[in-house]
Amino acid sequence: MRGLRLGSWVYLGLVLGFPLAALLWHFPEIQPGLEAFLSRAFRNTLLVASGTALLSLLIGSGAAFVLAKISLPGTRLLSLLLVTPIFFVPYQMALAWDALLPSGLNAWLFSPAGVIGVLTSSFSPVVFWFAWIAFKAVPPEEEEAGLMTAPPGTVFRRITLTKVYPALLAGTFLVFILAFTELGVPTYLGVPVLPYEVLIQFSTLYDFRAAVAASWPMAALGVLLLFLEYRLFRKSLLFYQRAGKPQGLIFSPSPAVKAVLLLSLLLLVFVFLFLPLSALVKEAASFRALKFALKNGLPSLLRGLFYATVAGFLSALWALAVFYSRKGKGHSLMSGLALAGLFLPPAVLATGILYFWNQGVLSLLYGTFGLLILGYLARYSFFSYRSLETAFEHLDPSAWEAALFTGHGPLAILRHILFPQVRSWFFLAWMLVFIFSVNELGLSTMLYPPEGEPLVVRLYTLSVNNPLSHSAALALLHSVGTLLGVALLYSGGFR
Amino acid sequence: MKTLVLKDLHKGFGEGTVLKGVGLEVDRGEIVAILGVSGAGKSTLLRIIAGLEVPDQGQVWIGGELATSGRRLLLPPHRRGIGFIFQNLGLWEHMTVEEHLAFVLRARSKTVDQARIRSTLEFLGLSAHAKRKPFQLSGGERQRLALARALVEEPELLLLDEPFSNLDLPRKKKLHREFLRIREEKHPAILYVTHDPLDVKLMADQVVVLHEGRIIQQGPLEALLGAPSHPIVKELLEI
Ligand SMILES: Nc1ncnc2c1ncn2[C@@H]1O[C@H](COP(=O)(O)OP(=O)(O)O)[C@@H](O)[C@H]1O
Ligand SMILES: [Mg+2]
Repeated sequence: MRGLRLGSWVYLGLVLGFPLAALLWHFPEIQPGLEAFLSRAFRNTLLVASGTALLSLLIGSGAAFVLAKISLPGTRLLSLLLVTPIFFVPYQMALAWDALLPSGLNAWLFSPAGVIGVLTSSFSPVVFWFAWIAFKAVPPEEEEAGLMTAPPGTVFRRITLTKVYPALLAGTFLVFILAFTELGVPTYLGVPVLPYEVLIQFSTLYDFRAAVAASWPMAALGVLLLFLEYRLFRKSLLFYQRAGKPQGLIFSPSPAVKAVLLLSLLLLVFVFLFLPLSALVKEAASFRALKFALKNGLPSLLRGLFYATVAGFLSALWALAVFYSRKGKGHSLMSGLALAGLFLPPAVLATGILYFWNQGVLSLLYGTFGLLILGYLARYSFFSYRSLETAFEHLDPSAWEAALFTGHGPLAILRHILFPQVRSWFFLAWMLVFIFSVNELGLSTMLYPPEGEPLVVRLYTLSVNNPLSHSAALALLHSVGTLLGVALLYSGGFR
Repeated sequence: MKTLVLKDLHKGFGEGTVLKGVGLEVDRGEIVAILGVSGAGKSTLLRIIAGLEVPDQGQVWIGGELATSGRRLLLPPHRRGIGFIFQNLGLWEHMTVEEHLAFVLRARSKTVDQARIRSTLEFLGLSAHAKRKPFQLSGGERQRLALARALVEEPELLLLDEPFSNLDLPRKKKLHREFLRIREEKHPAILYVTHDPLDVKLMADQVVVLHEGRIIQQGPLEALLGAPSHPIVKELLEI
């Protein structure tokens, strides 16, 4: 147990603590570029992030309410289709819309509004997912008790909404962060944003200092957001246990209104999923494009899947160790650090990692894929932390205690008693980190080893001077690989 | 005028039929116990009366007004003047005791009658807990909060879904006395579901036995025990 506890701290130190410390250590030699705060790129970044967050809140929570609380046909399939866009790299969506829209409308696409639209289609599933679970977790009896005294509108505001709003805000926050750190879409659509500026300093000008300076505004905002999250939403569980089936007439609009709601949901699925996907398929459906994709993309696809699988597994393992040895102190420090990884811009994280792993013996890892995996772990360990935290909260302690009387060692108990009970959460953690890592462009472009780039990066670099059909084929290859990986993990965890 | 009239209610869920023609009349101030094996459709019946569910066929009249006709909900739940106590209470876990009552009263008028809240809390012995949330209350106090929430509006009709299960005997007897007192002071009709013959003996004027979708017998306890119309009536009522 002591060993596990120590191990989980060492993990967090190597993944996040030391790189961030290295960043602070080098603070004096980095000139904070104040002008960056006021630059157009910064304003664009803010605009894109807040627009995406707001729109995702509206669409995601609206759809979630309808699907969780109103009885409609096909809700399961619709819910599944509405979260599906999260499996695709947002960048693909930009490609798809570029292929889809006639040139007259392209001016609209290549603007901050276009970026917001594309990112909303990719990220609103996050809000949808949070909101759906939260709406499901409101006990129907509480709403029905409300209906006995007040009309449905009041019941919704004073009972339903009051209970779910922390989850809605947490989801919106996450979308804000994802949009704020998004590199691919704004770059493709020609809207200058900070993550792009940072990358340019790095990869084109090789100006380490300028890069970090340009990322300071992002870091500052990241810390601010971290503080806000900590103060406002710490209590909001990211994952609720499912509860309650939709029942009776709680929120039961007339058949006409139901038809309209159903049609809007179908429209949403059509616009967010089928339209872009069919555009990609249509573009890619030529022998030459497919051949190009397989020849140029297959090795990097496998590499990317491998990196993400390893990262997902390691972080899930770490979280399991954290909560299995939970008597240790410092859990809030741990979750705070893990959260910082998620909330800090990838450019900042990558810089810290490069600083730290570029010294002494540590530089053995420099230039290997280990650095990339460390980056994924630094950014997404929070997901596995929260998943396993929830798993252990829902565990019946007496089952565990009963096992202690058998005299088996801790590892046997872990294997035979504990793990089977948290198995699906373990795989959920693995799956979440896998999905986000495999789609992570910002970190990957800065940390991938020579000759070892994952497909997200290749997709990004190849789309610059290749025909759209080739990029579309690569994008499809990427989705197929991701979906296969998710399906494997899903069948491992929820059989 | 009857407080509640049910006419020929039918209700099915998917394949199975739960209610197959239920009719019932309840007077002001009358206390009626509904008995039946579990799954007999007792909760479904109460929910249809409350307007939380609609029947496939039949009518619900409340205070002389047609409230439900077939699948059409003519009067929404909050306009039926009904106090409902749910089996698992359905307390609003995010509100304090007094906020529960204020929420009910505010749905009716702009100003909240604080005196009414105080007297209701006093009536049910909850005054000391006004600022607490449900999770800070004991089981009996939670039960009384549900009662206070249902009573604060002085409803004409009280619907109680197994209000006495999960209570120890002293608390059960106390709750019986409370209901009898409520009846003395405010004269609502009370319709409650129970499994326990003791509940029936101690506070029901009328017993209704629901079996296989129909009311198979109805009347005072002694009458039913004297001449049960079906073996199940004896099974349900005899101690
Ligand atoms: N919302 C529902 N959907 C499907 N079946 C239901 C629903 N509500 C009740 N039932 C079914 O109707 C029958 C009667 O249920 P209920 O009224 O709760 O019985 P009781 O309260 O007498 O135990 C049961 O078989 C139950 O499974
Ligand atoms: Mg019942």
